[in-house]
Parts: sequence; structure tokens; C-alpha cells
Amino acid sequence: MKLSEITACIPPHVMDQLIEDPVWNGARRQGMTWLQAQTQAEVLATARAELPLEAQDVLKLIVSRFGVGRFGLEQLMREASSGLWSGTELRYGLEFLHSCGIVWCMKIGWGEQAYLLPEDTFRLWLREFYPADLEPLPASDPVKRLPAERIEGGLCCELLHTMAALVRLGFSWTRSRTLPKRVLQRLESQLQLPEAAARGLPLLGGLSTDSYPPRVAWLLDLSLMQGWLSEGEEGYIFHEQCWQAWLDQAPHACEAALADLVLSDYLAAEDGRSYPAAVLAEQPAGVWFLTQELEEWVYKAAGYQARHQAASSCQDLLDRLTGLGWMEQGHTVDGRGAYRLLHAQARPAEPLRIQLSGELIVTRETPLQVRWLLEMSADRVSHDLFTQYKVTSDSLIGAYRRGLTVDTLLADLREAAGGMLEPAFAELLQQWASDWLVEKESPQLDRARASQNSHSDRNRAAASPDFLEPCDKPSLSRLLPELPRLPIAWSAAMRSYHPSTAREMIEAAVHCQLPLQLNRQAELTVLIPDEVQELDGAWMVSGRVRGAGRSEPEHVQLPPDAWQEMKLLLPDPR
Amino acid sequence: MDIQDHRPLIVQADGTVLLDTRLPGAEEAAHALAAFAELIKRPGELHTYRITPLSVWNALSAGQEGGQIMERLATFSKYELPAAVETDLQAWINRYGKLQLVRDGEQLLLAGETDEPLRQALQDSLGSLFKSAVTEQGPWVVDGAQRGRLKQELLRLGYPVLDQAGYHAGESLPLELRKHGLSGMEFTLRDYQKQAVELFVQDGSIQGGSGVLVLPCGAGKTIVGIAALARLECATLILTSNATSVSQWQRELLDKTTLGEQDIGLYVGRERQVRPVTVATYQMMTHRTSGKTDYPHMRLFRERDWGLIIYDEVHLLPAPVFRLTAGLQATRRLGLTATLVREDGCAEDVFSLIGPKRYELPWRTLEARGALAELSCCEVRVPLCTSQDTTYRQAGARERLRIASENPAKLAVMEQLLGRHGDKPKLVIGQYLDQLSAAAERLRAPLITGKTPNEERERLFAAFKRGEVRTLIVSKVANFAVDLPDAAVAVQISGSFGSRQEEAQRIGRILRPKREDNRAWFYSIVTADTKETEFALRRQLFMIEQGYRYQLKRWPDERALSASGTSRGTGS
Repeated sequence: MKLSEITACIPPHVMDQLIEDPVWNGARRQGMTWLQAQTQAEVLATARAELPLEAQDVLKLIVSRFGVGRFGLEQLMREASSGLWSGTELRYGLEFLHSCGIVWCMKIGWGEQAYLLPEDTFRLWLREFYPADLEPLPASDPVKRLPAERIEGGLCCELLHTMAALVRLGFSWTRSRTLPKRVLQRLESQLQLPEAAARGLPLLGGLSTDSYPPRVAWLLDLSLMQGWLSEGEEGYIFHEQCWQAWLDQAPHACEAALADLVLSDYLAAEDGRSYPAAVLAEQPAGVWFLTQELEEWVYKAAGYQARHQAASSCQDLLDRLTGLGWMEQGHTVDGRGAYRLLHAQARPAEPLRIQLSGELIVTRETPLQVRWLLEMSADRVSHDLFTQYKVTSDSLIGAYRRGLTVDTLLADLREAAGGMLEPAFAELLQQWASDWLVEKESPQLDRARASQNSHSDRNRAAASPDFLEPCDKPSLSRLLPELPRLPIAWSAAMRSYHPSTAREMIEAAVHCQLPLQLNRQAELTVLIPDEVQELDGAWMVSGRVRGAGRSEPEHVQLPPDAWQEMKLLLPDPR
Repeated sequence: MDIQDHRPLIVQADGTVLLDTRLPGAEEAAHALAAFAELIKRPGELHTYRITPLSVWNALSAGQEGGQIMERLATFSKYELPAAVETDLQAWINRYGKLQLVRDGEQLLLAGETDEPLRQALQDSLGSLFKSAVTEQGPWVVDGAQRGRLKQELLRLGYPVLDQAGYHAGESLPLELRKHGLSGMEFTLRDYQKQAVELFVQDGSIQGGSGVLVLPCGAGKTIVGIAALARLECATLILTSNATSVSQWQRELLDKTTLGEQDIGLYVGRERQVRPVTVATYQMMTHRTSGKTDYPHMRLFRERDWGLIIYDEVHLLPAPVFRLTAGLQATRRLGLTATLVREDGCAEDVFSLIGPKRYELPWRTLEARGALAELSCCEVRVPLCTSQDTTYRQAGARERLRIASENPAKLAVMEQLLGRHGDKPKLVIGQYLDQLSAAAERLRAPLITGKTPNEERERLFAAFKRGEVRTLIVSKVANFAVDLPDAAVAVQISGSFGSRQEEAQRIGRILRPKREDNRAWFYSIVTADTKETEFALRRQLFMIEQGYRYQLKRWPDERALSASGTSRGTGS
């Protein structure tokens, strides 16, 4: 879930208050709002230093184990069960993170809550805790590129073709509230997108059926997400204004925006892919990197049990990006896998080219409005890096029914072609139109139909989650409801106790998930007790001893005479 | 990965290439592409090519280096070459030359490197083509009678075979090219004709001797065939498309070589002459009394010890002749054509059974060299005769086309157009006999149709060549292989439903270079505002795709509709 989606659910004044939190002092001094601060890697690095150690470690654990996924307190505890911190300390860290708007909490059911890290800040925190210093392959290490099934003409064209087919065939549903089979078949038949690239992707735009083929489902969902379509009572509603606004953009800009959206929302939404996705979002296009290094980094950062899991997550993402036409994969001379991102480059617009044969040719640089005009008035003959159309008498009749008279079409084509139009071609179109016009169908009919209910509101069908406002800073009384029942002396200073009192103290620590400080032969250590065990009439405490410098804890079993003094170690809320 | 906007090629993953002729380097790129890609069409500024395994193997057999193909393509490409293209090209290049048919004494051997899938195929499905079991390691002894089939099958599997098993010499036939034709006119081969023959013959080595030469209509394919024959000096069987063409071969052989009538046999119609050089038609070869019997005339292939077989218009070669040709791989084979594109998808069979492309000369290149007449094409739109208007409106689609095609108003326009060209030799070409008869009557010119006896046809063609007849009215009989070198003006008053080849063939009749004024004019008269305009455009497609452009005029005011007013194509 993105930060913007979360903040849309909370009152604005909350964000004004958040920037006042001491953690964001650095950002505040620079005049940033809290929201702005979340997007700046340097600000987050400063904020990290302001976090108590417990919160830092909890955040690192969240980044590593949960990524952008939701998690409950119990899951966090389980993941940290062999770590440095006691349960109360972990809760302290988590509440601290929630209080300053780093981690968010939402209600997910009756009395149940889940926490999450926003997708956009996840990338930055990931980089903060696990810097991915992957080195590009040197130019001296050539890569043999591998062919792959992929979109050659860009995702924006796939979407454009999908919308064009819907305009031609209709947006209406059958009684089962789905598009008719023939429409689905037509939509599918024209796609370049490999099925493997779309299969299993989340539907974030609110598509309400799961009965469509995966590729069609995903493209429709993306169209809902973009606000070009919404779901009505009897079919999809086409928001022509919103669609036209999108067509007005330069093709490379549309493609780049789609790549960002798909990578950050659709691809990174799955836990496993979110880690490599975060790295790829930072990598320059056109530069080769070794797949193995990416996998190794993901293995470490995401805390996978086995390397093959990391490899599988990475390969899944790389293959999907390749299928979408935004990546190439290959291998080095010695057989190591490599990948590189491709990006849509800003190019001067190319006009429509009309051949003497009546073929209409557009390239990747031709404005999308011109493509749309052709989709509405001509038959697509082929589509790849360049797309070839042909006006036929049937396509002309179709255009006419959609409100495009031959004169308008000729004027539009002439403009798209930079002012030139082959006279024979124009004559032929006029001829077809005059042949057909005998039937006199109203040209405005379908355009009016297509534009009815036209509005540009974005329709996010998914229900807004119920987010909790950031909590106050964690206090001892909130963290430890049992505190009044604990003798003050137990936490006030180091003292030696009778073994029976010591055992009572330890059992209280286990219950309250508190660590103990022990003085063992003049050396202070922190023990996180797990349990008290009986052994041949004697007892021992087992737990983890927190080493110096937050190194890995040591599992121990200690008899009561193993230390001389002790106290309960309470969190130190700021 | 960077985009090079100024480069003229867009290369797609499926091997389609778009050449933008407006960009710098386009001419050089076109030249490079011609070597290893098929030109599909050039209907304006953007030309389309396709790179296929065959086009690459054809290039390699014509001496192109594999690395060069990749490099040239990358040099001119706007975007980085798709990985699929690089991979495919590399695979095709690697496969070429890996398998060879060689001779070891009396044995025919398949030798070379094989991979696992190929070895499997050889063992499983092609085992019957070998004389002994196909073991792990080659070379393998091939059944000599299966030489053609083996090449065919291996090519279908994606493995071209270099046939270096050589040819038998065939019956010797001493002859020379004349320095002067029978009329006394000087005769020498044009440079490109010499080059084409050299690339085919390759000094008589086993590297040459079989293959296809692609030359546009009017480039003198017959002369090239005759020159090859003269180089090899052996008994030759020539197969061509129709009886008129048979006569033309005979005439040219007599005119350009030292062969006499006793050396040249005609195997067509009622003639059954088998002589050291025999000219037959495909129709004759595939004639049989019923669908179930053998082809009796196929025996001609074995009636003499032919040293060379020439397949004229090889793109029309019928399947039964292919089958027989598969068994004649020890005989030198020359294919002549204006296009390698076959509607029946048999291009692979041409490659494996006749041979790879040895030479190709694009139509417009030839025109630029002055070896073809400089052509002006014009479509003239004539209103439908008022008396026909109501009939046209009430008629069905097919009938409408006929009414529009036979529009009586066309004849007056035809007459006026012809009148503009003084006494230049002219042809009037049409589809419908009634219309052609009316034209003949109006112009008082002789008419040649399918019903005209062969002798009468020949007499009229000869009179036309001598300048005694200045205008000929011809039906579709004149579409193919009729040599009327001086015809400079053609007026098409009707055409078929939209055959792309037909119009090109008709234009081919007037493209031969002219001695003085090297120009030719083609007019297509079309009834305005009717279905015929649509079919006219379809008919023009082939020429447009070759880089020609039609000027469009409305009759009677002749208001030029063409933007530029020029009749020349924009393509290079």
C-alpha cells in the first residue's frame, strides 16, 4: 500500500502533528512537510539515527521479514524470538515507529490489527538498512542477449489496443456481469503481452470479476486503476475525457509512467518481488548487472531460508519485466546470467506516414492521439516497433458510425501526416464513403453513446482500509500494565537477592517480556529470560544473553548462583 | 540501447525491416539489405524488407560473409537489433555450409557437422535416403537418386546443404554468342548480364552451376539464359511459361548465337522436336490425359543427356516439375525470374532443387542505369457514360465492376491519349473482348486475343516490330513473355479483378530500353466514382511497391490530382 493511499484515510492535521515529532527534526529544519520527508533518503537516514535502538532493530526486522506485507504483533514476536530484544522492548520499538508515522496500523477485523510499512518508504528503508551496492558489469564483459516472448510495441499500445477494441465492440456485460466471450477473445487475440507476465498479478484497480483470462483481467484492472474505465450497472463506463488526457501525453512519458506504476504497485505488491523491485527501481537503465548478485542481495535483505527462494523471487520479477518489454536478459561469456532495464527515451514526435499504397505507418514516436485516430478508422495490419494500418471500406464505415465523417477523417489524417495526403488515397476514401452513405446512418449516434456518462473521476473500487492514527509515544504504563504490581526496587538498582526472590523476579520478567540486567563477576550483561526450568530440585533460567555491540545473542542456561546482582530492565520511553 | 534517430532502418524481432528512404544513408542501407533480405514492397518513402533463413542463405551462397550481415544491419538500425534477430541470424549463419553433399569416387556423401536434433532426424525420418545406416559419425552415404529430396527435407528442417557433388557435363554443344544479330545489329551483353552469368557459372566449378537469377521484366532474362548456355556449351532444355515465349526463345537463340534451326527443337502444341536445345512449356510438361496417369511429356527430361536445364519464370514452376527436378540434381539448373516470391510457399523448394539466388537486380536500379525505359504511369478517371449511370446504380457488386470497366466513354479518351504520342508504337490492353473489339474498330488497328491463331499472332507481332503496324490491341495473351521491344505507350482500358502481377506484366511490355527516346508511358483508364477505382488501386500495388508512382488525372479537364504532379516514385 502506498503512502498516499494511507494518508488519504487519515485527517490532514495528523500529518501536521507528525512533523513535530523529534524524529523528524532534520526534515522540519529544512522546511519539509512530513509527507515530503518520507520520500527523501537522506532525511530517513537522519531519522533513523533519532530512533531508539529497539525501534531501529524492529524497523530493520520489518523491512527484512515483512517488506511491504502486513503483519501482526504476534508474527513480529515470532520473527524476533531469538533476537536481541525482549517482547516488551519489541513492542516499545514498534509503538515508537507507529507514533512517528514510519509504520502504520490498520484494523483488519473485530479487535484485530495489522501493521505495515508503506510501499514507497519501504524502498528507501530497504536501501538504508541494506544498501544494494551492485556493481554494473564492465563493458569488457560482453553480454549475449537472449530472445524472449515480450511486448515489442510498448504497454501503452497494448492498453490503447484494448480500449480501441472495447470502443468497437462495446463495454456491455452479459448477465453474469462479465464481458461477452467474443469480446474477451478479441481482446486476447490482439495482445503481445505474454501470459506469464500477467498471471498472478494483483488486481488493484477494483476489477470485480475473476473469470477473465489473466492478461485481459490485468489490462482491464490497469484501465480501472488509471480511471479510463469504471464499473457501472450494466457494463464498464468509458471515461473519455480521462482517456483523452492520457493520449495527449508523449508516448515515452506514458510508457515511463506505466513502468513506474506497474513496478511499484503491481509487481512490488508481492512480498518476494518487493525486494528485487526496490533495487531495480534504483538501477540505471541500459546497464547490465549480474542476476546472481541481485539474488545474493535479496537473499540477505529478505532473510530467506534458502538461496533458491531468493533466486526464484528475482527471476519471477525479471521475467515479468522482460515480458512487459522493459528489461532484457542475457548471459556473459562464462555463462553468468545478466539483466538490464530498458527505458522509454524522450524522442521528437514522428508524423503518420501514408504510403502510396494506402498503408498508414506509425512508429513508437508517433503521438498516441494519432494511433487512436487510426484505431478508430483503420484496420491494424501489423504491430511491433512500427505499426501498420490500412483503411478499408469496412473500417471507414465503422469510423463513420463512431462519429467520424470522411471529411473529418481526411482532415485529421492530413494533420497527422504533417499536411500531406496522397490524392488517390483521399479519393478512394471519398468513394467508399459515398458508396456507403446511401444508407444514411447518423454519424453522431455512437459517439454520443460512447461518451455518455463521460467523466474523469478516478474510480477506486477497493474499499478504503481503516487506518489508525499514529499512536502517542509509548509509555511505561501502556507498555507494562503490570508495572504497578512490580516492586519498584526490582527495577531501581542492581541488588543481590535470595534465590527464591530472584526466581520470582525472573518469572515476572518472563511474564512481562522484560530483560534482566545481571552482574556476573563485575561484568554487566543483559539476559532475556525465556523460562525457569526445574532440575533435580534446583532451578535454572534459560534465555538469551545480549552481547555487546548488538551482536548475535548467546543462548544460555544459568543457575541462580551464576550472578551476584540483578534488576529488571525497563524500557526507557522518551 | 540508445536510439539513433538519423539511421534509416527499423529492424523488428520477426525479421521485418522498414527502410526510411528520406534519411541519410538510406541508399547505402538499401544496397546492403538487397544482399541478405527480401524486398517485400516499396510503395513510397518507407520500404519493407524481410530477413528469412532463405534470404540469409541466399546471401551467403552469393559470397556475403555472415559477420558482415550482422554488422551492416546494426550499422543502419535506428534501435538496437532485437535479441531475437541477433540470435536467429547467428543460428542461420552458423548452419550454412555445415552440411555438404560431396562426391567420393562413385559415392555421394553427406558430410559435415551435425547437432543432436539433426542426427535424430537423419536416423528417424530420413534414413531411407541413405544407402547405409545413419551412424553417430558421418559422412553418410547418400542414395544418389535421393540427392534432391535429401536437400529438400534438410532445408525444411532448417539445415541448408551445400551441394558440391558436381554435375555431369551433358552432351557437348559447341556454340558462340554472335557479335551481331541476324539483322546486323551489334550485340553485346550488358554489364549486369555478364555479372549474372559469371555468378551462375562460377568458372564451371562445383560452387556454381545451379541457382536463380532475379532480374526485372525487360532486363533481358532470355539473353542471360542464352549467355549461360553459350558459356557451358552443352545440350539444354528450356522450360518456359507459354507458346509465345517458346517462339521468343527460339528467335533469340537464332539471332544471338551460332546455333542453327536444326539445333533448336520446339516442344509445344503439336510440335514434338527434341534437339540439342529444346524449348518446352510447363503446361506441356504437366499435360496428361487424366488425373491418375503419369505425365507422359516428363520423359523429355531424360530424352537427351541435358547438360543444363533453364527454368524461365521460375516463380511459376509447377509442383510436378519440382518433383521431377528433385531427381535431376546432377544436371546444371538455371532459374530465371523477376520475383522469388511464390504465392504457393514453394520458395524453399526453389532454393533446394533449383539452387540459391545467385544474383538480383532491383527494378528501379535497372531503370536508373538506363537499361529500362523511364516510365510514366498515369491513372485517368473518366466519368461513367450517362446512359450507363442508372444501370450501374441498380446492378450488383460484380456487375457494377463490369459496367464500369466497359464504360464506352473510355474509348474516346483512349483515342485522345494515343493521339498525343504521334507515331510511337502503342499497345491497347484490355480484359473484355467486346470492349477490345470496339477499340480495334475505333482505331482501325489489329486485335490479338486468345482465339487468334499462333501464326497470325506471330505475324502481327513481327509487323509491329518492323513498324508496319503502329498500334496493337491485345487481350491478356500479351501479359507474359511477349517481346515487343519498341512499344513505348500502353493504354489499359480494363483489367482483371485486381491481380497485382497482371499490371506489372503489362507494363513490362513497354519497359525495354528504347534506342532514341528512352521513355515509356502507361495509362490506366478507370471509370471515376465507381468500384473500378478500388480495383485499379489494387492492380497498381505491385508497381507502387516497386517504387513507381501513378499520377492521377480526371478527364476531361485533366485536373491533376497528384500532390507533386510528378509521375516518378519517391523511392530510391
